[in-house]
Amino acid sequence: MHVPAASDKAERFDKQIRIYFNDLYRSALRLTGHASDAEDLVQETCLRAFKAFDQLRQPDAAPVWVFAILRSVYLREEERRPSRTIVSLDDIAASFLTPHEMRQDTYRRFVPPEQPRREEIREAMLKLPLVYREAVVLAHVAGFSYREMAEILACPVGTVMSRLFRGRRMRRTFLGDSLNPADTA
Amino acid sequence: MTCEELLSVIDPYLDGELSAREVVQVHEHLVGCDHCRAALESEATLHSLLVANSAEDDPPPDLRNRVLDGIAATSAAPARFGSRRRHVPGGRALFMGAGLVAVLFVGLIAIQFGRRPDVPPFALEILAKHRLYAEGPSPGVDMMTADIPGLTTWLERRVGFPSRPPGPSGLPSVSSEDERHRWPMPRRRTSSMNGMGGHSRCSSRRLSRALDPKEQNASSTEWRSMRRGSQA
Repeated sequence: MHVPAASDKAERFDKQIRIYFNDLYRSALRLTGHASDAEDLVQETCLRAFKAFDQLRQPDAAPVWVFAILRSVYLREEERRPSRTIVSLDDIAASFLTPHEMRQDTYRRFVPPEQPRREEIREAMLKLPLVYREAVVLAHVAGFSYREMAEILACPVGTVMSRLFRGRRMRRTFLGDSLNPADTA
Repeated sequence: MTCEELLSVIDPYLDGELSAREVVQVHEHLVGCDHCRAALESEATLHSLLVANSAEDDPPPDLRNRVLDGIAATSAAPARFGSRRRHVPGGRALFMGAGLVAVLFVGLIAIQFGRRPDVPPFALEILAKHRLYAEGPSPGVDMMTADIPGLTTWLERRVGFPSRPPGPSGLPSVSSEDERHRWPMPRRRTSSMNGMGGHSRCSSRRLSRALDPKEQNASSTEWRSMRRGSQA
């Protein structure tokens, strides 16, 4: 790995962040939906993380710390784009399930009949409202625990679980719609 | 575990967030429930599809180098910025003025917090807890220690006035090889500092009076001893 004008701090930073770099990019790609936006997001995230690197006291906290920065940068960027809706009220309302709806959830009717195409999975992810997408991305792409996600998203663990549940149900519905679901009940 | 309960924990189960006991309960239910097993397999398939799909996207090979180039450029920037600042007219005076204001502010806060309150907060807390517990029917709160002088010193520092610990003559029957003593505190929860033997008890009425701002002239608490077990 070539480190231009390497300083001790830059080397330490590279060593610390290296193992999360691919997950950072993949998460950025799932959040933005575009490779060029994901690259910009990763670059800006790393730049901000490097500036604040001295504040990172515990190396074990590095993944949560850097993903929290990624999220912060992304949200700030989203706020500058009025044409992009972070989440609509309709999306939120649609994602609330009553206990009865939970029992009648699509668990019963949807088993992926065949391997969905890569684009379909990606589109299903991008259809999710941001509040659910970021939780699903952190869980599936970065593999964080609920507690770590709660730190990154700055919300209680229960909220993380709720967002994950709703996001996954919505994603299942989107995928099911595109895959002509089979009723296994 | 019912089917409804299992459906509600499918996500935590697949995410590895359930306790070992809950995992066993899930497995026990799955053995006899085809419907829930199908639901779990369906969701697990979807999870693995997403993970596998995301793993296919590697960053461009040159992205890390671009990131590190940007970092290298940034780390050089502060020196240039610092050298320019020194030429700002009045900048040093402004900086020193801000520092002076900050020092004054911190000093005022320190003075404010350094003032000795009329009644130490810890003493008020003890009084409030005592009154709370004293009204209830639950058992007492005990403090046990092997180091009465140490605990007395600690207590005096916390409550802000001297206290007189029970002397050897006031102690109940304590075996010679074990001089540890238990100090009951007003009620409810039992906390042990170390061992137990005989115990001494602070007169709660006197303690309340001593902590009462109107009776601050009662500058010391009196401790009386009682035999272990006589509290009940």
